[in-house]
Amino acid sequence: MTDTQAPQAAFRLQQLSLLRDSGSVLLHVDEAEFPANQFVCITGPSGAGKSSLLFALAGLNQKLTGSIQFQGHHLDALSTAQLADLRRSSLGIVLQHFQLFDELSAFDNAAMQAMWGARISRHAIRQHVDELLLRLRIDDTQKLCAKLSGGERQRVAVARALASRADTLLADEPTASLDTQTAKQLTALLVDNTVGVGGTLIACTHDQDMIEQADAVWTLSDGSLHKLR
Amino acid sequence: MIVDWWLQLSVLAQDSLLLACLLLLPVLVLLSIQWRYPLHPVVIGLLRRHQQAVIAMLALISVATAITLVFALQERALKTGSARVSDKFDLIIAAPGSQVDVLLAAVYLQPSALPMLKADTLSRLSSHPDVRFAAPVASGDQINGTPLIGTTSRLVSHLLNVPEQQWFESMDQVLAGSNTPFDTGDTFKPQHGFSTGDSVEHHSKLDVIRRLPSTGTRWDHALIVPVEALWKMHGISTHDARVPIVVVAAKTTGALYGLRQEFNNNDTMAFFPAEVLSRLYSVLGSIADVVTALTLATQLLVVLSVLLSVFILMRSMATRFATLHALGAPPLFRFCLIWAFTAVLIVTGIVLGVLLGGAGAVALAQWFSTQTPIPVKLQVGLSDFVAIVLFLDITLIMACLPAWSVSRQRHDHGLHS
Repeated sequence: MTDTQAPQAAFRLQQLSLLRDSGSVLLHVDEAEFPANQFVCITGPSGAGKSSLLFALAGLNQKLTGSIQFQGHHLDALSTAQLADLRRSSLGIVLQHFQLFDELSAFDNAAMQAMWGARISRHAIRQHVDELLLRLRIDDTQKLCAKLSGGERQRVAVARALASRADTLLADEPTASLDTQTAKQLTALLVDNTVGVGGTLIACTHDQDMIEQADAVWTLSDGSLHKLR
Repeated sequence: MIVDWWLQLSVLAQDSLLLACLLLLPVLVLLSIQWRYPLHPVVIGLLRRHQQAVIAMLALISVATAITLVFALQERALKTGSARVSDKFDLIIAAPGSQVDVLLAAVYLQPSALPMLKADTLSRLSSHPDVRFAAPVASGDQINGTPLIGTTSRLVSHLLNVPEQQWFESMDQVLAGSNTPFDTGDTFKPQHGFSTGDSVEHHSKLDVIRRLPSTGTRWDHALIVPVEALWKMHGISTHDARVPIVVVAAKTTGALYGLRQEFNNNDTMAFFPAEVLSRLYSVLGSIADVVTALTLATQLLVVLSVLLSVFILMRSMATRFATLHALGAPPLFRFCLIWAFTAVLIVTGIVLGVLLGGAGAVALAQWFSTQTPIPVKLQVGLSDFVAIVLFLDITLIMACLPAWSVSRQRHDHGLHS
């Protein structure tokens, strides 16, 4: 499963084809590499396959051929349980539309993924989550998510991804539906808590401000992935 | 060796151990799940989110449990109650006919037109060397629905379990049963016949001289007079008097069987009330078994329908499970989540059902005691709790089905689609 050479990239894609339900090719990537410890943006028009690519990177997209390596692990060689374990321990995900549990408090949502990891004590997780939520300006951590504003919900989703202390964070349109100022703050927070601490941030986005801050930018067009810079 | 040790234990110890083990099992499972994954916020959240469905499912489980419990407790209480009532009637002698009718008339004081025994039967019994006492039981009158029973002081003492004494000083004196609306000092003229509607009043005026303590029998609902008073009211001389029933107590148990044989002839019928009740129970018992099976089957169906509802509820939450999957939730977490949700529903439903069933059984027992001839006293033993907790454990094992089914589904496309 692990290459003999030390992985130089967070992700390495080779002859990757993402397939539609019908079996036709949605996106093909001959070869691509997303370096570790960098902020990588993937952009492109709606429907081009940004989210599909992000899901594939997270080991959630089964309709594909070719190879994806994450930190030297061939994802296609891992079982469902091993992939879940990898996401729990090494991959934080900020999902589009937040996908929070409305009936739970901001704290319970943010702490959920970290609690499964159990690499550190629950007390330490609680402290870490409280600090994160405070930094993300969620004052009432016991407030039900159903009662939070759109911006607050997005920040809780980010807190959930960061709380797991994963070294790589995948974000699907993290600043969508946020005002410019809040989007900038959120981008800074994501970058500070990933690349800023030696991790990797890969975001699918249309947000130009976010794209400008990225170390590397890739775009999807005509069913292919191209590096812009 | 373990079997020997187990068999040496008392029933109470066996039941206690069983109960402890059966309770410990789900508690340990829940604690270990909670220790592995802090599930309670998610389970509470799910309960809150689906509160209408949860309330409906709780109502289903608790009502089904309550019905089963009420039936089981009531059926047993009726059996023991009816048996206890007849305990004090060792041997009953009447004219040949229906033993059930005689039993109902003598023990449960149910109005019945019974044929009379020959005039010398009572005296023959009273002078029999094996007989401790022979007491006539005669009825036929009432006052506002309360039956007036004629017998002897000897039977009254026997029913009250007190040393023999004279309860009546004259024939116009009445003893009021503990559950009658009469008290010392009340006077009345008894009405002829069993019906309260157009009955004719007797001329004799009777005085209640004492309110008796409870005998635990149907006789607590009756007014008791000397049998001679009844004969007098009906214009029958003591010489010509005949009675329909004689209650006999023998000097020894062996003598009882001899008396039963001796007085089972063309003129008389002798039987043990317990024997008749046992025959009745054997007939009614099979009906009760069917009803018990039906109530249990109903409860099982309710549990199955709840499990199916949980399954459908969880299927409707595909996006949530896809989110959990995307966040790296282990399959065991998803299994435990659904199982714990179902377990909370089932445990709460059954606990509510036990409370509801208990209250229902108590209310029904009171109603039965006042409305029927049988004083019904509920008895709940440790074995009842063992049965309830065993059922609970079985349903908790069944709760693994929706948990297993949903947790093994693939959720890869739940979010993306």
